[in-house]
Amino acid sequence: MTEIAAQPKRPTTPDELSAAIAAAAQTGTQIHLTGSNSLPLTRFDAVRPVQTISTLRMNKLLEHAIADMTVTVQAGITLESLQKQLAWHNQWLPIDPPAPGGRSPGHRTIAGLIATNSLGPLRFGCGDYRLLVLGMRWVDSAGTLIRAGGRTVKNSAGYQTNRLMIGACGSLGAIAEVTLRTYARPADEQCVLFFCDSYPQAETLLAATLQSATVPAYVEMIGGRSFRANPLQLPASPAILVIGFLGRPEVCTAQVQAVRNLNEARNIEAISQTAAQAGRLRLWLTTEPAADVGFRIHALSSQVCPLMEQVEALAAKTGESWLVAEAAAGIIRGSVKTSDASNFWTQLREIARARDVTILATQGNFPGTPARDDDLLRRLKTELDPQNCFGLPPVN
Amino acid sequence: MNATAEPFATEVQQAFAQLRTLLGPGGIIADPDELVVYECDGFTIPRARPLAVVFPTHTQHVSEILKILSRHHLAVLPRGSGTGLCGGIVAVTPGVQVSTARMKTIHQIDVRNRWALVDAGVLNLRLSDAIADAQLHFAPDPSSQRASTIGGNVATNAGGLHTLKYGVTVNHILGVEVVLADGSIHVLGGPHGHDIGPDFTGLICGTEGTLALITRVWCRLIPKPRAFRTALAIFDSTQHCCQTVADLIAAGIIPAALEMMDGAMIRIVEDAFHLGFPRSAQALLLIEVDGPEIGLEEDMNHIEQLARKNNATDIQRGSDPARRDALWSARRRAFAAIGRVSPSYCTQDACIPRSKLPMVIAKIAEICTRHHLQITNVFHAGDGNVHPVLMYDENDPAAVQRTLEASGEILRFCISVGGTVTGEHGVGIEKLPYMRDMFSPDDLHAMHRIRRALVTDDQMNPFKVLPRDGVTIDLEHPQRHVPQ
Repeated sequence: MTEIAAQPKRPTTPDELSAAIAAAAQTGTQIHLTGSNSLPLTRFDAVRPVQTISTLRMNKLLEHAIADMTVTVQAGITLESLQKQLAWHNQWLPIDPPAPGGRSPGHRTIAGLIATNSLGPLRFGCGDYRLLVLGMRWVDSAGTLIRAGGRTVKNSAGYQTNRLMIGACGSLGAIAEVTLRTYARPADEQCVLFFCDSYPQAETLLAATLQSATVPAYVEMIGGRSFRANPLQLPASPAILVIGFLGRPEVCTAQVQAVRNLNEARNIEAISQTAAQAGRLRLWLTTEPAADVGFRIHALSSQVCPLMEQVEALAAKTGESWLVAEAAAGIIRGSVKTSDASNFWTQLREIARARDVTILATQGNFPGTPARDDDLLRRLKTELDPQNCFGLPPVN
Repeated sequence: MNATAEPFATEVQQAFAQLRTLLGPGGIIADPDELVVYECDGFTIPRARPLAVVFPTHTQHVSEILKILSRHHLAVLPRGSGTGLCGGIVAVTPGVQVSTARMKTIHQIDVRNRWALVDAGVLNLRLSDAIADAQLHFAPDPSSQRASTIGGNVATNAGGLHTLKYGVTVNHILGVEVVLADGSIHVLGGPHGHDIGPDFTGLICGTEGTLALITRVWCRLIPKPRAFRTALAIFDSTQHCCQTVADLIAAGIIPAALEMMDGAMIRIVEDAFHLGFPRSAQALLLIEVDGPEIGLEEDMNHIEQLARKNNATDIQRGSDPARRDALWSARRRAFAAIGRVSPSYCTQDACIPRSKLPMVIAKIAEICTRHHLQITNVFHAGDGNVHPVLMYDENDPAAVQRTLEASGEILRFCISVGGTVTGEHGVGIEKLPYMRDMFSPDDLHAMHRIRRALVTDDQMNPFKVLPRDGVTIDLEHPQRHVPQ
């Protein structure tokens, strides 16, 4: 049984974070890093004590280089707080990560988002953390504060250890500060919803959209059962494809029209949505209800429709479900309320194995897909965290 | 590494014998006269011949080669096309260059899912040419793209003319297959890209062959822009030109490309390519916006407004594909055109915050004047990635020395204003001395630890990228000062 230290530590600066980690390391105590704790993925040794270290008090915006379009923040600043401060200068971070369990994505911390590689629909058109993260300060298992990357939009100096922290779930070090690039807030957002009769029809339209001259910022697919709860009270169909655009109003309008004019869209009912509604819909698509099982499947775009059809059929036999995909990026997110979570997970994992895609549990404690090659992780853990204080990321 | 003469020579001969057995006699070059062309890359000051160059044709070859070299304690010097610009392939310690020149198969192209799997030796432009009919391309476009390999692009995290909008190489790599020094083969990422777990692919990008040898790459493909507008903005002052760049970025405008040339470079390019550039201009911006047709005119209007606010004397706009090709071709060949006016040149690659551009360009000019050096600038202004080109005669030792001193001053100044010593060329051996200005001992120690985790006997391109205590590499005599 894992013994958790009575008092979590709540550093307010990188130096305090460094000291807290150093103190834990001296006694071989495992270190459970938390931000908003919305996606607890790291696995620990059950027989060793664990010290929780929360970064929520490390929540300052340190420098906003407005003219350079970069911002440097502490690890525990929430996405909502950061976006508010950037908005004062008409800038933003183009990320809209999900928050499993019905929680608000805005309360997630920047370091937590980076450490879990959490992104949402805008990933497709606006990029990922490799693009957004310019530099970082992180703390290793001995409590040493280390700088990686820099503050310029291009940098090839040395090893970019900041990239190693993306998706690592804190297993190699604790993020203390991050420098990110920012963008001008788009003038407008518009989207069009296509109510497809079937997943094969949706795939045909999806493929045509990706081949077209349009430049979508996001392309989402949602199952009919899940769409019934949409905030715009629109009717459902078996599969709904949502294609969104960001930019100047006339450009968004023209691109929406261009998609609607595709041959493959001709016989599909479609509704366009303008700014407030489009944004509201997009953010609703990132909200994953609290459930017994939550999952994230990482596939190719062409696998999304057949996988959604298969997973939806499985979920329908089990209980209330939620299923949405970043259709162009190949990411499927879902959750299921069921009294037999373990059996559901086993079958879901088998579907993933048969399709040669990876799966990760985002709610519930279930094993994800085995890592294809964990030798590098093992070598780096041996060197950077020899006592395995930081735990392991959710790959076997 | 065992370097006493006789046992070392024996090790080398044994290794060569095994390599010949593995690759055939045509798979290895060991004649010193034939190795001359392999003694440097595009940075021609440091030169040192490798012991040999070997040419594997597939990943298993690479694995066997590295095992052989490891057994005989010989350094592995990964080589693409040798177009690097910082001495990354120079044999500062006895070693064998492992060239990917014969690993040039495009294995798979998945148009629907926008990825391609290629051997590391596939030339950058060849991939885009192969997928052009599908209206896709591989976005990283360094000036060397006709000659540089994708593996080399990954190893240096190459940039190019359109990184301002599309990002650098790492943003277009879904996965890599690599071989470590012990010969083990590892697949990092893949067509799905990176999800959870440390981003090993992201780490490998830019490590210049010091962690692993890249054998295959999963490349992300993106749509070719369907429409574009190109403009030339002419200025009678480099400061006005630089300020325009700073203002564009601050306004949140992201052109597809934003390149600057100063007056000296304008005249060099005009003499070489006759594009109608005004010879009296002190600076010009080459600007491109791309994407869906609608909106491009408005984008250009906004850019023109800012340029005129900063006293642009003329702005030429157009959408003629032939003119566009000519302009970008001239930009890409600008460095080659310098050869008409100077026997040698050395270019720097610092990247600075864009708001500092006017100040940095002025400082670079002052430094070069003080060192009695002729200089010209052609660079990726939108990224803040400056490329001051210092012209010199390599047969004049004093000129070489002044060039190296001026380069050092420029780099240190760029670091002092929050920049980095290299935006896209890499560290190699050229920028080793400045790494301690950028990073603390703890920062560098962390990088060394990562290397130690993956490279057990220090064979992978040693003495590159990361400075070492007690080791100084003399660029003019790179093999002399490395302790054995």
